[in-house]
Amino acid sequence: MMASVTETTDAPANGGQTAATPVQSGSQLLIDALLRNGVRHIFGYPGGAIMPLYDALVGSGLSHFLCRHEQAAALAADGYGRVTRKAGVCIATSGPGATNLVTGIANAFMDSSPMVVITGQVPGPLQGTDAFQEVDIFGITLPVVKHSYIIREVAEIPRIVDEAFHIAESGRPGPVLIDFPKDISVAMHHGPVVTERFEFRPPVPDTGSLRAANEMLATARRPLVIAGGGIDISNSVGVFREFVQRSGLPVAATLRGLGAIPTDHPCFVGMLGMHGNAAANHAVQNCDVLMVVGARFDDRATGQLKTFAPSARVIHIDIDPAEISKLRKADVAVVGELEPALNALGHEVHPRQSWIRQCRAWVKEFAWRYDAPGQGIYAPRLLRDLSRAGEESPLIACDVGQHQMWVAQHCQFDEPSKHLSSGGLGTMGFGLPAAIGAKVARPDSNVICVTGDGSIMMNLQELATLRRYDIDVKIVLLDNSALGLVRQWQEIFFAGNYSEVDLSDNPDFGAIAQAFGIQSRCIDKPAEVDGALEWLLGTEGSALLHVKIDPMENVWPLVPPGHANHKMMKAK
Amino acid sequence: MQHQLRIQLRSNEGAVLRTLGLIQRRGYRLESCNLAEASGDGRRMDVKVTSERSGALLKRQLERLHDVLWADLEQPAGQAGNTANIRSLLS
Repeated sequence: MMASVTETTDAPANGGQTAATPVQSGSQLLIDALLRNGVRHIFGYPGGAIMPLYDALVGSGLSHFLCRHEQAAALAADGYGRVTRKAGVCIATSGPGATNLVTGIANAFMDSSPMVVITGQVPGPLQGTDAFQEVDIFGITLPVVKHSYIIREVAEIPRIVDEAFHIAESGRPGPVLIDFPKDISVAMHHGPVVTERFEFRPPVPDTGSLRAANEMLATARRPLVIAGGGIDISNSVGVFREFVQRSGLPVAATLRGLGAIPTDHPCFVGMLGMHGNAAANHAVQNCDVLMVVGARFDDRATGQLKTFAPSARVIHIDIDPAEISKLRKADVAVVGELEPALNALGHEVHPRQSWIRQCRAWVKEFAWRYDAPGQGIYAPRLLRDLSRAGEESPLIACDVGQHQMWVAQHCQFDEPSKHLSSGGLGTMGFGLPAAIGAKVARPDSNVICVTGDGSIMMNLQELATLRRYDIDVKIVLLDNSALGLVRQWQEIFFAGNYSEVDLSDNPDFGAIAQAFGIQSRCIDKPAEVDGALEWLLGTEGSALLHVKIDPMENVWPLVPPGHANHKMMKAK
Repeated sequence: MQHQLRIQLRSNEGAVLRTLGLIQRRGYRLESCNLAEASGDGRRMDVKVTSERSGALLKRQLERLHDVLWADLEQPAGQAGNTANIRSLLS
């Protein structure tokens, strides 16, 4: 699948020494390689073992964003990569710097975000001796990287970095780690620089499989399409929308597939799964052909696997052959890039009009309601209004928990890359750093971080990063003084035996915002919402809107674990 | 269910660890492993594993690794006793 071409150059890319035999340090070679691979922004934190690289960084032309925790640097690189579809880059030192990156690396791995991670490492002779700030980060991250390297020879640096970017960005993207020992970083390289260009030849969808898929679609009476995260990852949103326009088939979305078609499109039946819309779940459970595009049958989406889409034959389209029939047997497997597959499919479909009418009836019957009782602010309505404010939908990066589910249910997205959500790993603390990465990548976008009082504390220090670089991110903090989703589960499944979910001793978030030089406002009444949103979105620079909501509000519907998707619990 | 696979690895640092780790965490119990040099620049690993999961799935997951050039699923192993050959792996 991977072809490479070796090239040799005598001149360093950044206009360094031009002697007949150029001499560059390992750090200079690495910087050059980053620049050659199109890197302009990196997120990181210095330390002992990575110091020579930071020395070479000065005056290199790379924009470095000093985060205040390495985990945030990795999550920012993840957000950057999701939005650009180019590898986000993060750098940390050895030992604790490297281990602090692990959650961010695993987050990128689970959601297939392109990322290149550079970690400092102790010099070769000290490795394996329990040296100061030595950890085997290569070994630690083996299960959560797409690939990884320890650089052993300075001459290898250009080829390794070129290959790392290629692996991170091609096929199903993912994080690639480069461990960079200090002795290599200061070693001098004499002579030409050998680089490689790599070409990824993706599997071409098999014509036999496409024919079988078309036959299945043509004879389906109750077909349904599931849009997954792979559509955005592969930059296939336009082609997917053409397919929907052409076929007119109803479409459900996974969390990461939201926005593949606009959420107000007549074919859209909603998000399926544990906290999905009932219309989508009923459609899935009653379809006879299920065409799954760039999704992986994650348990949050499927509910109990053996009762998922019980009447359906499955067409599974994905670039990763290892996902085919991993969890649900595919009756037709189309392995390859989504674009050629989608272009070839759905030109002849004859769904029963009664099925189309039924799907639309479910959408109408189970449309979200916003006439919530109670005196307090209803977060779903606020989020819906937030996403509709402004001429185009904002880019929303959210954290994890109840607010994350409400964002998925109630915000309107006109493209998937405007919805940054930690899906596979469900990392609290993702929101603010991811918003930072996204804003750095798309400075002209309106970027909003929706978070909770639990999640925001996990990477609160990144308010300093907003201030330091004047990064304009608006923060909507939904504060229910609780670890909300865990509290909800304890209410429902543990007989209300609440354990370690009370956050009523939260700090004064307004005072915290002020301490970081960020303006803020606090509201707790419905009548204050419109004015507060107008203030938030119209204000210059970063701002925090602290919204106090009912601690006992729950996310509905809910498919209990181990149950079929149509067995949804509803609000009483 | 027992599965037997022959895997061609690149000679990259960590390739063996990466491959064995994947086998383990994807829910396949490693019964035996034979590692030898292969022609060209590479290594050949023969593994026997047991799992309720399919051998074909493990093959596809292995082939997703950059360090794995190819993985072949062999005929189902017989009922003969396992001959642990980890020594050749550790030497």
